[in-house]
Amino acid sequence: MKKSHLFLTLSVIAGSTAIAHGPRHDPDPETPPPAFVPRTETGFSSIEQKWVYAHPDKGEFRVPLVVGALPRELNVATPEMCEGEVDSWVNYKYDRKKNKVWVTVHIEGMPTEPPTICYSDYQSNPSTQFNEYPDCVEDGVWQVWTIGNLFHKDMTFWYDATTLQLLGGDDRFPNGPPAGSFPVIIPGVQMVCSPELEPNRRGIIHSSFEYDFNNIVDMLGNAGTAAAFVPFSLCEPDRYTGYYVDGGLDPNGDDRFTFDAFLESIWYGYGISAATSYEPRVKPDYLASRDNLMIGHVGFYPQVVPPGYNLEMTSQTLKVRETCETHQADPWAGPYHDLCTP
Amino acid sequence: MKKLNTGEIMNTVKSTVLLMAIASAGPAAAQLDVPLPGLTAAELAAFNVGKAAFEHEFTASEGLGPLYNRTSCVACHFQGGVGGGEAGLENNVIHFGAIDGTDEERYLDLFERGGPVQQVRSLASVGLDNPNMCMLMPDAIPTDAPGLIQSSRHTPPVFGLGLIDAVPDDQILEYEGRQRWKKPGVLGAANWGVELENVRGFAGYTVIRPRTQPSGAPRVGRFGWHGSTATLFQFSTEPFGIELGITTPFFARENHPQGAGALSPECAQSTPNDPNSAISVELYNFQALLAAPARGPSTRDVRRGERLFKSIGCQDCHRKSFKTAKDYYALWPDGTAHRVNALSNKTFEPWADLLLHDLGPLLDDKRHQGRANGRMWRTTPLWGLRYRTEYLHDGSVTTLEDAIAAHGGEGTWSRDAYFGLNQRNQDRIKAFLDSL
Repeated sequence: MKKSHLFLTLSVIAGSTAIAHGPRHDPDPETPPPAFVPRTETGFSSIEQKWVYAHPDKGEFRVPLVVGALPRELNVATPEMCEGEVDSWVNYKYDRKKNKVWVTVHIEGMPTEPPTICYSDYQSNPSTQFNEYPDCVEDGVWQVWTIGNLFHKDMTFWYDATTLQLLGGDDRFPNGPPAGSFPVIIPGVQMVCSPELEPNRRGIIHSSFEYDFNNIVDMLGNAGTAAAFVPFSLCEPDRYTGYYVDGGLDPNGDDRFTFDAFLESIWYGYGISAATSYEPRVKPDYLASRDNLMIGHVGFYPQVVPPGYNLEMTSQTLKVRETCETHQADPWAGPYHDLCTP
Repeated sequence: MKKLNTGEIMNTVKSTVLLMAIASAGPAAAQLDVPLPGLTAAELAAFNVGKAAFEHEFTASEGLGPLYNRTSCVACHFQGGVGGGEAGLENNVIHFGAIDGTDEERYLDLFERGGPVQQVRSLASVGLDNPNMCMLMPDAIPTDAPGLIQSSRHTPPVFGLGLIDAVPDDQILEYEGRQRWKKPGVLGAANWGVELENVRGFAGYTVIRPRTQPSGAPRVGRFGWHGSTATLFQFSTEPFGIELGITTPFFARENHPQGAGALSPECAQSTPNDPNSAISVELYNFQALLAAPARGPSTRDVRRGERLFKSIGCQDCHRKSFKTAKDYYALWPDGTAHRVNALSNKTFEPWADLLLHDLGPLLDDKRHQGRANGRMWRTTPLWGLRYRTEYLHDGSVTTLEDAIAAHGGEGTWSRDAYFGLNQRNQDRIKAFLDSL
């Protein structure tokens, strides 16, 4: 074990100086850094003196999938899917030098015949003035979403200064903000999809695919999409609705998606996520690079949700799942404030 | 070496009297506050220094208060020796918060009302050491708070906690969730915290937000009734502030009565009281190097009881053993990370999977901590069970039968299986539990 003779000096520095965020890449990844050198929000364990959850350059981790969905999404679920979640996961193996991320998906208990699912059987169509969704999906396919910057990607939204209504995100105003508006920054996620996946005759999806480490893109060449839960009116600032960037993100701009974003999310404690969605076999243009809100599974890493539980998003506590059938996940409650009614 | 003061002498007397009483009652004659086997001379020295700090009666000039519960660690942790639990309920602490009136039933820590833990004493109530005449009133439960909840917590023993600190996350996680070998309804989920030692240097960092989990590298929670604390250093340092009012670089905010914003000048102290975490490290060293309770004699009934314990599913949660990390590094007084051989690569038997389990509505204390709602409790290690006189988080039951009966939710199958056994086999299980 190396002793840090500079400990006192370094700790004083740590107390008085802002530590730059971002990944640390040790010259020799096999040599752990000395103890108690400031390593803000990294995944390096002082207790074990090693990278526990995500090595900066080369490693592997597995995200267990459980049946579930986020608020107001349609959770596609069957008892077989819940039974199969004991062995359902997404595995990520990565190598910075080789510039590759190898993804393997294994999901058990899936419907062997593609079901027909209509929002109207369970809820209203979740389309909004910003995002459109199909009424039904027949003969659909599944996609796995790899989700990073977990509610930590700053997204800018523009609101009408007079009415306080949402005008749209930055993505809808490429030529600058609309007149008479003001911005609100809301944390969101960035997510990218897998190729289309289908279960075999035993209801098992098993598939492998890969991304470039330094430029993760989907089949359309986009850096996935970004999404957030947003108030559509600041009169009711705590009534949240999902908002997605349509048309995909530019992989050559600020939204370039690298695997470092996932590693940082793990180190900082925000974690990463994976999810499955049921999609039209031929996706309409409005669903390009983003997901239909018919969600089968969700998973988190390293703070996994184990089989048998759901994570209640509002309280962030775990709850034993009591039933397993297709249903609309509880929407965000509220609003609790009405700032516009005297 | 610190000189014993009146309070320390009283503590020693109290501990001795209690130990004599316990000894006369049965198997609790052993003195449990012994170091791990195989410590080096330097480690043994750190253990002894830490033990003295654990027994030390802190004063206002050392940072005690202005609000606090007791003046030393040993005042609550004394059953079976320094570091034990408590015999009796006198020192139970009250956690309080509120469930808001929304459909989501969001949990509120009531920081603004002095939450989440009540301090029942203030410097004003000491009368011995209050040089600035601080006259704060102790914390009162805000009974007018809408949706108020209160949860009483019994003092747990800290024997063997270094071994638990040394368990790698992946060993705990491998038992998570529904698994084919578990009895019906048994799941198990990790709570999560952060590795406090890893949060921006150890002596120079101040966590700005009061009493909330600092952000940082994730680690499986394993300490506390709801398993929300991830490292022994935090489990030791955080109550140093909450229970004694000794602030540290990691938990720098003084306890405020009813959450009042600023302390008056006569009550304000320079903070943190333990500015370089020196005492915090001493306290942690003692607990990290404290041995686990040894097993009692293994009779035929004990062995049969152990097999029954497993066959009715108790062991699905009360996991027998873990192996510590290949290398465990302790915070050391000189500011380095010190590899402790006695805690590295060692197999031990805590009889707990360290995971959260939903134990049903009867044990719902409504308190949320991390991912745990009020029904979810971390499996309590059963080692040293024969020395305890109260069970459950609030110490509300005094017999093993009642403790078993309280298990609902994920524990229902095993509870019912236990009460379905004939008396002879129930006695064998109790014999096994009395051997721990």
